[in-house]
Amino acid sequence: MRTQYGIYIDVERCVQCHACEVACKTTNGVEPGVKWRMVFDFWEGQFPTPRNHSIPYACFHCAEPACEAACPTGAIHKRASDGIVVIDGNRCIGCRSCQMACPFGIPQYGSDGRMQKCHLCVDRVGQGLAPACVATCPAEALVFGSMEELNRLPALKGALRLKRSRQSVAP
Amino acid sequence: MAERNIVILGNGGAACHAVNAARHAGFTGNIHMISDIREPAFNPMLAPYYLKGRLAWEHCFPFGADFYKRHEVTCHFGSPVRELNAAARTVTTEDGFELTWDQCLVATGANAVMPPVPGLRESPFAYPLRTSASTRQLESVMATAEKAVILGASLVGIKIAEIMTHKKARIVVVDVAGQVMPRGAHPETAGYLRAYFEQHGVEFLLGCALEGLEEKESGVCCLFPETIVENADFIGVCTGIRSNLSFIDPQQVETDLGLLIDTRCRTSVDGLYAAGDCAQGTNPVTGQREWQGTWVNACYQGRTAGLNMAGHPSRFEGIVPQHISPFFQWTYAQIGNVNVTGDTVRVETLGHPFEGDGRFRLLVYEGERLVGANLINCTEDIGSLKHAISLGLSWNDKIDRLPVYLRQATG
Repeated sequence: MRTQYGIYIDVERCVQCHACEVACKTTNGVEPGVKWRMVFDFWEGQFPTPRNHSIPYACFHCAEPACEAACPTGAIHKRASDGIVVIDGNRCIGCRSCQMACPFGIPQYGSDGRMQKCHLCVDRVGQGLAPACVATCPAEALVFGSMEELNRLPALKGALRLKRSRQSVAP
Repeated sequence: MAERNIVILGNGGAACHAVNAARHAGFTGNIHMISDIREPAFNPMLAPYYLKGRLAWEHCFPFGADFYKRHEVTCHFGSPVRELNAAARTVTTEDGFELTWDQCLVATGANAVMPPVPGLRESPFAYPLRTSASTRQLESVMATAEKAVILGASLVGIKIAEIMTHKKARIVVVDVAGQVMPRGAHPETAGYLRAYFEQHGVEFLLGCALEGLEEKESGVCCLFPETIVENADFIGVCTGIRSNLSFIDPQQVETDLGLLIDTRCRTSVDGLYAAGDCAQGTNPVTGQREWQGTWVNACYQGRTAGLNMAGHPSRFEGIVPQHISPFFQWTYAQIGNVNVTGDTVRVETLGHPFEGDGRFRLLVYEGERLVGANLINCTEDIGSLKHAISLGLSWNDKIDRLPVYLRQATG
């Protein structure tokens, strides 16, 4: 594979504005009732220390896609050039095998009787642009790039945090 | 040192996924494929969709005709395997062709079971559904059949029944079990399904078996303990499948309903792998090796076997029994084991398929552990539910709708 594209999600930056969901739907014409990108909000704990989590997620374009293996018609495949997992609507029969296979609940059934999901805005990526959700996020919680680039981000973030904590205790 | 060769017996989902995985993992040695069929890999799961007009014929062959050339597979098609000699590491076909293997994958699938009813096997009205040839046969017969008896109230049997209702035939579905979907549906769910199918014109004879046939000019009389179905002109045989392992010496390789395999798809013989409907892997919930005849299981096993044969250690921990399918306007799914018994078993239901929004969910727990589910018209969370069952977790709608792996990421 030439490269594997992905999206880094910084859950601490996400402010639950759901702008990424809206951008995805408007850019891709996603029908009501179907979401290619989802923001899941949930609370944990009890007063006085409840915790809120917000996780914006879409297809993870897995290295070994469970959906690809499960698809009986070969409608789902992982592109060799960029690792994006796509569904060929002409071959899809809407059997929902991919929906059952995916541990993240990503593939969804459309009103046209076919399965659909995030395709990392392949057309935009092909033009050198970031996916619509990434371009829209006001909190910069989503970062698009190659996995090689994205894998450096957690370490960078950790280093910055360490630096700030040392500065805060410095005399 | 020359790279070892791989010999694959079979040409279905498991076999092709194994080829794909091995080549993508960088295996450059010879891959041979032996099959009795002279055509690209056919997916029998797609036959009902084709017969319903939902899928073009060429799309029933998911890998396509050019798959073998693209992956540099040497094909030996047209003759079934006669013998696999695990000690000598050879395989011989019916027409005398012999190959020596360094690594061999048995992916010969399964054949339709024909119940031992006198006259059934020879009857010109009896049609199993398994191969591309039988699918084409069914297509021409179903177009004109007026009275169908379908043996097996299973997923496949009901799919055939659904297709026949569109052809305006009279349909009687028979099963020795007392309910539809006997393997995966809870009795409550089975009751709803039966009522729904009956609304669409399907008749059922449950808890009884076909005892015999009498051929008549106008069709065949199907004899049951307490009734006779006269003048049937189509008998769909959907009574299950059995692993195709006649060429295996059980003294050489550990076998049960299929070839017993570990999480790397290895059999008891070094260098011999198995995958798909002829293999018996592990159910992660029960921890037992159970036979599962599903396309998805075959593909995962094939992929795992291919990676291991290519020298990339890979494990497949197994999947729970699972099926999902549309029937008429409903979507039905079954996961895991909903028919467990015991003091700690409890069943939770939500909704009703004939009321409100028509959504129904049945969850079965053993203690706090979710072990099985039936869903009607509410499959959005099915992936998360399935993985909760596989991981032995509980289920809480408030948080567990978030996929389990993402929830763990929040710490």
